[in-house]
Amino acid sequence: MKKPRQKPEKIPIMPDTPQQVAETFHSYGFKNTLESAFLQRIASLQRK
Amino acid sequence: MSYKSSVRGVVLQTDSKLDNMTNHLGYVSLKVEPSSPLPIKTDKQLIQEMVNKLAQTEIIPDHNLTRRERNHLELARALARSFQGVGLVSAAMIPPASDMVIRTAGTYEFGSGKINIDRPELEHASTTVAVMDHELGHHVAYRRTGSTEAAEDLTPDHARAMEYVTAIIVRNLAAGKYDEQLKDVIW
Repeated sequence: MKKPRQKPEKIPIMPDTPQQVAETFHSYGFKNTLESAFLQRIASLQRK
Repeated sequence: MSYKSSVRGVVLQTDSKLDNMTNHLGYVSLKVEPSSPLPIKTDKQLIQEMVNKLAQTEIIPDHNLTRRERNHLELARALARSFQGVGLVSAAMIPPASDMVIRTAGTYEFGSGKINIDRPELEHASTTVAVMDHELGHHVAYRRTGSTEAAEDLTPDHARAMEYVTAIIVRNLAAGKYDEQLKDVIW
């Protein structure tokens, strides 16, 4: 008889410190990409 | 800029699968033989403590936020709507997840997809966007892999997912999808 697959124990919540957020955000260049995109859009909305 | 204590705690390793989360909470796992008990907690106890601490998270109703915080929360919610299956996005007072971390910026709940943002992160749109990009990265990585381990910080899956999240946000931003929320933000 086939045994039911045991579900792995799950950790339901991932808490992130500001440092962890900053590490991932800076590490891969996301900060520059998002910052320049948002600032450009905000500036163009303010010009309207 | 450092938010996490440079001193790290030590826990007894019971399961190497918990090493990433242990590290996440500012601790290192120590593998010792059962015959040499040490008066320190185990990784499982550390994670149970985290669960207990996070259970004290207080959701802040929108009407108790300042206008500025509310504007940034609305931006966060608009970003979340760009991705399928994200749960409620709320402002919250989140306790530090362990005694080795000073603050918790945000949480992502793997089952429900709920995201909580710690109130100070709503002070500026830049920090709100950073937290959302990060938490949505967990969401996308988890939906792609079905694995909490694969969706943890700085894993290849989380990095790829953040790249995808960033691309979607930039595309939507250029298409004007967040213009309504951007009117009153302070970057």
